[in-house]
Amino acid sequence: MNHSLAATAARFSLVLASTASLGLAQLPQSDAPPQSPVGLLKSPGMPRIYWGQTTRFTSAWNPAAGIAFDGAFSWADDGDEDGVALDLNVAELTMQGSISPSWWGNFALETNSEEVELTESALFYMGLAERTSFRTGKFFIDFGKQMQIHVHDLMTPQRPAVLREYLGTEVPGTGFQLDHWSPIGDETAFRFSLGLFGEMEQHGHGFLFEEEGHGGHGGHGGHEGEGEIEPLLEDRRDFQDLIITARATAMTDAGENGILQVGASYRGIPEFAFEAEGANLAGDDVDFDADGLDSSVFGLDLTYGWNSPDGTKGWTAGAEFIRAEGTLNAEIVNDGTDQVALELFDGDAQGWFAYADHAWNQQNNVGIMVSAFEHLEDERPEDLEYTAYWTHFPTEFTRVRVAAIHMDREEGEDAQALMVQLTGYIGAHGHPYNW
Amino acid sequence: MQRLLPTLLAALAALVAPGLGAPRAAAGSGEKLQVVTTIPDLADIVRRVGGDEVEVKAIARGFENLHTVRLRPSHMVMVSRAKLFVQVGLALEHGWVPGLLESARNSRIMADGPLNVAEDWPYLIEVPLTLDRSTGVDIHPLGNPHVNLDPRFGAFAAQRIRDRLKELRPEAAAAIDANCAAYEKEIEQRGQRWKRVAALVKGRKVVQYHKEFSYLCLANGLEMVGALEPQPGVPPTPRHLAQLAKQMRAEGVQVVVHGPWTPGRIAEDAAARGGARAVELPVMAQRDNGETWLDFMDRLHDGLLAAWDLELPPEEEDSSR
Repeated sequence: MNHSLAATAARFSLVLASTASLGLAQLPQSDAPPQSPVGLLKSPGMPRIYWGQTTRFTSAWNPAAGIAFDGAFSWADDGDEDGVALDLNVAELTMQGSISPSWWGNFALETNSEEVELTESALFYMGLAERTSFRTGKFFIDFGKQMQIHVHDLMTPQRPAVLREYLGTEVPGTGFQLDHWSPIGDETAFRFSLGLFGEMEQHGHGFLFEEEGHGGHGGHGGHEGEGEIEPLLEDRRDFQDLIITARATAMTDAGENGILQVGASYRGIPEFAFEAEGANLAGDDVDFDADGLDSSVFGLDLTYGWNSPDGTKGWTAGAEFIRAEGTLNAEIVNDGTDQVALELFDGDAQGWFAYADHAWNQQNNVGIMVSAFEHLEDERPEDLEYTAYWTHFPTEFTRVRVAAIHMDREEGEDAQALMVQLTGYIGAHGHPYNW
Repeated sequence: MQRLLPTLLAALAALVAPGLGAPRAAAGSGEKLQVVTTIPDLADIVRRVGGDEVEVKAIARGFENLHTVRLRPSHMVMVSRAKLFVQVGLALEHGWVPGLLESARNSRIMADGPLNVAEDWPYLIEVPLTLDRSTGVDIHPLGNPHVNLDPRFGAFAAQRIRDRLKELRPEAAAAIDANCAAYEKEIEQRGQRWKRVAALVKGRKVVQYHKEFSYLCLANGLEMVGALEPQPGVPPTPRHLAQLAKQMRAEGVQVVVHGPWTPGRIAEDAAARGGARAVELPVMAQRDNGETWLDFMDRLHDGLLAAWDLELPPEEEDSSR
C-alpha cells in the first residue's frame, strides 16, 4: 500500500465538506419529541418481524428495554460428522432511548451461552440538516440489504453463504457514520451513507456447518494446519488507514403495490496484517507475519417487493452480487521440507445470492435462497448453498421457522441440515436498521 | 480504488448537498399547506375544512389493517415535504407512523408532532385495566382506537383540524371557520339517515373478527356477543372458534362482521358454524376513488342494512339524502 498525503487530505476534506454541506447551521431549536434517528420504514427484504408494535414501547423517561431469544433444534451432516443439536443461538438484551431532542442511543448485548458480546452501543445525532443523521460508537456496518440486520432477525434462517465468507456473519464496527436521504421526484428516495471505522469485528453464531476462513479484526483470516492466523489492525494508524464503508441506494414505487430498490456498497480495509504462530516439521515454534495488506469488498443489490392492497399478502425477491479484492486469506504451508511459510491469497473472488419469499397472510411465509461463492483460496473452489424455509408467526412477538439447507461443495463432502427455529421477543425489540 | 473512492464520494456529496434546504425554502406564504394524513377519512375532512388553503394526501388506500399499513418510498417523500401530519391517534397507527416519521426526518413534523385528532376523544371504550401481553397482543393502552367508524367522528375531527389549521394559517381563519361550520351542518343532515339505520338494526346481535367495529356497533345499538380473535391481535384458535360457535347458536347471532383485510374464509367458516352469515364491512374511506368520509359512512350503514336484508322505507331515504 502506498498512501499519499494527497489521499489523506482528500479523505479528510471529504468528511469535513460532507458535514458542512449537511447544514450545521440549521440546528433545530425546538422541543422536539424523542425520536429515534434511523428509519424503521420497512423496505423489501427487511425483517418481517418489524410489522408493528414489536419495535416500540412508550417510555417516558427510562430507556425501552427488551429481550430476544433465538434457539434452534437441528440435525446436520457436514460430511465429517452428523447428529442433532439443541442450541441457544442468541439471547439478546437491547435498550434504546432518547437522550435529548437531538441525541438518541441504543445498546445490544448478546450471548450464546458461551460468550457475551457487545454488538451495539451507539449514539445518534439528528441535529444536522433535513433527513440526515450522524452516529458514532459500535454498530453494524451498512453494506447491502442484509449486513445491518442481526442474524436472528433475518428473513432467512442464516446469513447468505457469500456474505458469511466475504464479510462475516455479523460485522459490527467501531467508528462513525453519516447518513442522508433525498427525494427524487415524488416516488423515489435516494440514500447514501459514509462510515469510517477504527475497528471492525466479525463474529457469528447459529452456524449449522463448520466453516473456514473467518477471523477477528479486519474480517479476514483462516486457519490451516498447525497455526492460528490472526488478522490484526494496528490500534493507532494514519487517518487514511481507517476502514471505510459507503453505500448508495435508491428505492422507488413500482406500480400501485410494488417497491423496487437498487444499491451499491463498498467496504475497504486499507491496512492490516496477518500474524500467526505455528510450528515447523522439526517442531520448532515459528512466528509468521505479513503486513501492509489491504482488501476491498464491493456489492450490488436489487430487491423487489410486492404487497396485496390490504397488505396481508406479498412477494419479495432480491439478489446481491459480491466481489472481493486484495489480500483475502492466508494459510500456513510447507514445501515438503522442514520450512513452513505464510502464503497469502492475493487476488479477487466473487459470489452472489438470490432469494424469493412469499407471504400468504400475516402469519405465514415461505421462501427459498441460493448462494454461490468462490472460496478465498488459490484454486477458488465454489460452494453452492440452497435454503428453503417456512416461517410462522403465532403472534407478532413469536416466530417459528422450519428450514432445510443443502451445501453443494466443489471440494469436500456436501453438507445438509434441517432446523426448527423458535424466536421470541419480550418488550421492545428495535435495532436502528435503515433502508 | 483508494484514490478513486474519495473522488466518487465527494461527487456524491456535492450532488446531494444543494437540495438540502429545499423543503424550508418552499414554505413561502401563498402556497397551499402540504398536509399528509394516515387515512383517507382524515384527508377528506382536512380538505373540507381547509378548502383552498390545503393540499392533502392520504397514505392508506382503504383496504388495509390500520395497525400494519405497508409503507412506500412515495410516502416517505410526501411526509418529508409536509407541513402537517394528521393521524387518528390513540395508538391506532403506532405500528407504522413512528417509523415513517423517523424515516422521513422532517424536522418540522418531528418538532411539532403529528396532529392526533382523537387525542381527547370523550367516548373511549375498551380501555384495558392492565397493560399485560398475557391478556392480548394488540394492546391499545388508551382504549379501542377505531373511532373513525363512529358517526360522531366527522364533526369531532373537523373541529380539531380546524383549530390546527387556524394556527398554521391565521390569515385564513375566517374561511376555515366557515368551512368547518358548513361541514358540520352537512354531517348533521347526512347523519339523519344513519340514525334511521340504527333504529332498524338496534338490538341485533353481532360477532366481530377484530374489534374494529365496536364504535359502530354501539352507535347503532348492536349487541356485541364476541370476536373471532380470542384476544386482539391473536389469530382465531380452533378452541375459541368452537366455543364461540356454540355461543352464537345459543344467542341467535345472525351476522359476523369483518374488515377487508381479515381472512374472509375464516369469517365465513366461523359464521357457518355459528349459524350466521359473514359480512365484509369497510373500515375506512377509499382513497383511490375519492370517497368522502360521509360517503363512506353511508356505505358502512348500507352494509349494516344488507347484513340483515333490511331496507329503509323509500320515502324516508329520499328525504334524507
